[in-house]
Amino acid sequence: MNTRHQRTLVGILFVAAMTLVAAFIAVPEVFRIILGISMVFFIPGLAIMHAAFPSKELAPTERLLASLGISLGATVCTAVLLAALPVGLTRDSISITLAGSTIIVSSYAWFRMRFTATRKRNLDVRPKVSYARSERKITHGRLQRFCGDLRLY
Amino acid sequence: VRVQSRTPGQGDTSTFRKGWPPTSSRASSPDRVSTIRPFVPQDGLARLPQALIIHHEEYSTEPSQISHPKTSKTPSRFNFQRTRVTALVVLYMVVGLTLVAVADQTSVRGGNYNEAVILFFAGLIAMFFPTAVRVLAPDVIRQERFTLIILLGLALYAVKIIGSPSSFTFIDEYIHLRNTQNILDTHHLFGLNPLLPTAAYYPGVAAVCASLVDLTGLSPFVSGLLIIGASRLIISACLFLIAEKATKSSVAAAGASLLYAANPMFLFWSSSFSYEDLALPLAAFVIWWIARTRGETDRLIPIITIIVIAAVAVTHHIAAFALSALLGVWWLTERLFRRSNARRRIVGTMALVSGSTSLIWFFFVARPAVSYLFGENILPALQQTAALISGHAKPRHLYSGGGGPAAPEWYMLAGFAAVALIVFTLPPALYRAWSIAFQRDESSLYRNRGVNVALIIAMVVAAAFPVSQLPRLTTQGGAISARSSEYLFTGLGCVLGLLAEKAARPRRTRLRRPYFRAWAWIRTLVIAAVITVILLGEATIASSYTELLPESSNPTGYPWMVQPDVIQASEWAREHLGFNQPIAVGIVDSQALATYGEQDTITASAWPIFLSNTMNSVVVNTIITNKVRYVFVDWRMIDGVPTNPGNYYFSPWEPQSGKYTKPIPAVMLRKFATTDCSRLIYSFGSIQIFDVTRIENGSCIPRTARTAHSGQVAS
Repeated sequence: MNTRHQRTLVGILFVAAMTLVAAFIAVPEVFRIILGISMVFFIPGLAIMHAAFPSKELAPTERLLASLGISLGATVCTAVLLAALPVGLTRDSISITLAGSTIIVSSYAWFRMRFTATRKRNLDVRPKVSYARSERKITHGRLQRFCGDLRLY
Repeated sequence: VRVQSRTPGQGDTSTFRKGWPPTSSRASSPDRVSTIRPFVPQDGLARLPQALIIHHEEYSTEPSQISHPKTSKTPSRFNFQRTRVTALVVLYMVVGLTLVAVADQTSVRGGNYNEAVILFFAGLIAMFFPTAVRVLAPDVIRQERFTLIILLGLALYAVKIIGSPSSFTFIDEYIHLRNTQNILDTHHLFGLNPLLPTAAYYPGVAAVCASLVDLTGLSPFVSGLLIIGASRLIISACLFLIAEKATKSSVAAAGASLLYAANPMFLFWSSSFSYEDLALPLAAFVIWWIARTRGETDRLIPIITIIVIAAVAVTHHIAAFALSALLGVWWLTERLFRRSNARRRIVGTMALVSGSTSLIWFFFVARPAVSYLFGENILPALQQTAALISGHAKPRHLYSGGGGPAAPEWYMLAGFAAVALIVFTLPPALYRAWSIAFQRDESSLYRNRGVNVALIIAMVVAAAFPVSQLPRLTTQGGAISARSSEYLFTGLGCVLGLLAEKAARPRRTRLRRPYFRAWAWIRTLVIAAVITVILLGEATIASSYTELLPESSNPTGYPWMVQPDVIQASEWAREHLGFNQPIAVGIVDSQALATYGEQDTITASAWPIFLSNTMNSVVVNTIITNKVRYVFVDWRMIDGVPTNPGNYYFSPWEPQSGKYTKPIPAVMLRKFATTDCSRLIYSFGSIQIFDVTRIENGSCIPRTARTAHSGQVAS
């Protein structure tokens, strides 16, 4: 499994959990501002991106841009939906909904990432023969699957 | 003309054609860029082809003009020289912002306004021109262009923040501030918005602002700035990426982004806390997202797209319709040119989702929007434009709106020059785009890439620009013409960006002429200067001369910005009169009264109450009909004419609207103090609030109304 993805997901879960905590317990204002801004502009989108792209690496700028756009879109929809429901748009309701949905999506992303990693491992037919570092780029791929370690290419 | 050449020391032969650049389509692999360049002797005369010496290391400064994200080869090593130049461009941005801040402060302190405006434009040039030169320059990597374009977008956003650093100032900002306050107070949607009832039915920006206020504890002003700042970042980035996909060139994409930044709305209007300024970036994001992920098979991706489309639909009507139309045209164009079904299907599905969501929200939820959009805005503008074309109406005198000081000649000239530059460069740009889109271009840069659907759509959008200038000549259509530029400049940017890329590209047309690399730089400078002129000219179109800079803290005439004493009176009204009291008030003061005072302001239909010399039957009837309980009098009305573009105090439908040459007489405001049916309840500085409840409930009828039309009043 991709450890960088894992670390990011742990970070997302931490921020979402802290937002949930901050909804019920008084926290320093600076902390609240940082959590709030990240929850509206970044964290939900990043969680969704990890769920949608469990293994495929996007360019960092693309990932950042997508996280920002998706977070804003998701927050707009969540806020409008909450305000339209009897529960109303309050600090508690928006914190719980945004943080809760982020935790759910992150968990889904986590399991999906594990599943993808396992499937990749099972499908990996590369030979267990070591080869020079300089050759790895060349030998990795479809051609090598056919040729095995005979180096017929 | 194909020339066979020989590389020294390798012995293999390769071919090249006249023209620049060598492209990846000719290279054997996408990552490998041909860098073949013929050697031209000092005497400037090329020898026979066999005698040519090939230098592969030349052109290495520009890896590829194609610069597709996946295929472009970008230097990974840290380049100190390049970083230094980028830092210099950023420094110019900071200098430009400083000049803008000085200009704003000069205006606020009541200094020479004309000099302040010149300083303001100097600041804009300092920010824009070096950035334009850098991003169009040939030896710049894609990532640097992308970064500089985003920084430029944010710097232009900072111009607006510097102009109003402590509170909102534009009328649209007050409209959405009131929406936000309603949501924060009631926790629910669709609260009454007296400034613009339709805005309450598109609560996207207000809801997200209220969420941010709830989550962070920041003020609505700071939250609004953050939201619009994030939106500015999204639209700057997405437009660059979309233009890059459409034009297949990062230079053209940079040109497109620069031209979009030059649209008249970008500097101030698109920086304001308004629903369109969130919806349009989200719509741009949807386009980029679909283009980026349409090849993916994951089921989550369409769900994500639908979420953002829904966000656009509940945030702004025109942006939602524009998104639906663009997706529909995209699907239709791909259908015409027989693209693969699977990739086309996702675009068609999303067009259907976007169209249906927008229409359902528009007709079933936001019902007042129908009459607002068509009855009050689009149809009158179309009627006036039709009358203008048929010769039944005279064109409006441009730059004459507002009653403030007349704009200097250079100010008007810049506006005309900007439009003329765009109109004159549009035909060759369209021709070039057409050549590329349909593979008619002989240069190999764009060959073998199929019909470019995105470019065809951009051409259609760009071709509408000259038509969009017609409503500008009418009184009702000016706003529509200006606002349409936010959409038209997307296509216009792509098409003109291609022309800019062609012009800025280093090339050698004749082998017999000595290669003079500085020509490329000169062309780049000229193009950057042209785009800068367009930026300055379009800025003059968007803002009237008097409203370009913040108003003086001690205005001499009738102010166009909300004044501190009005805010004070509004807060007094909220504390002492309660919320949502019907108060008749002028258009400028209504913004503060509706937001800081949270009152139910009556403006458009209140003009008969103020614009009468006596408390006659018309005044009384208007008070009774509109259930007006208080009258908010600003004595600065008698000091000067309104300087807003429509040139009116209350409503565009008041009798002297657009024709004020002198302020209203004092007797019109003095009448409230002389009648025995009204009671002065607040007086501070220029502001007075009168209680007219007894007239409203019919318990007291002013003598002047009784004698004149007693029968009419009684009825």
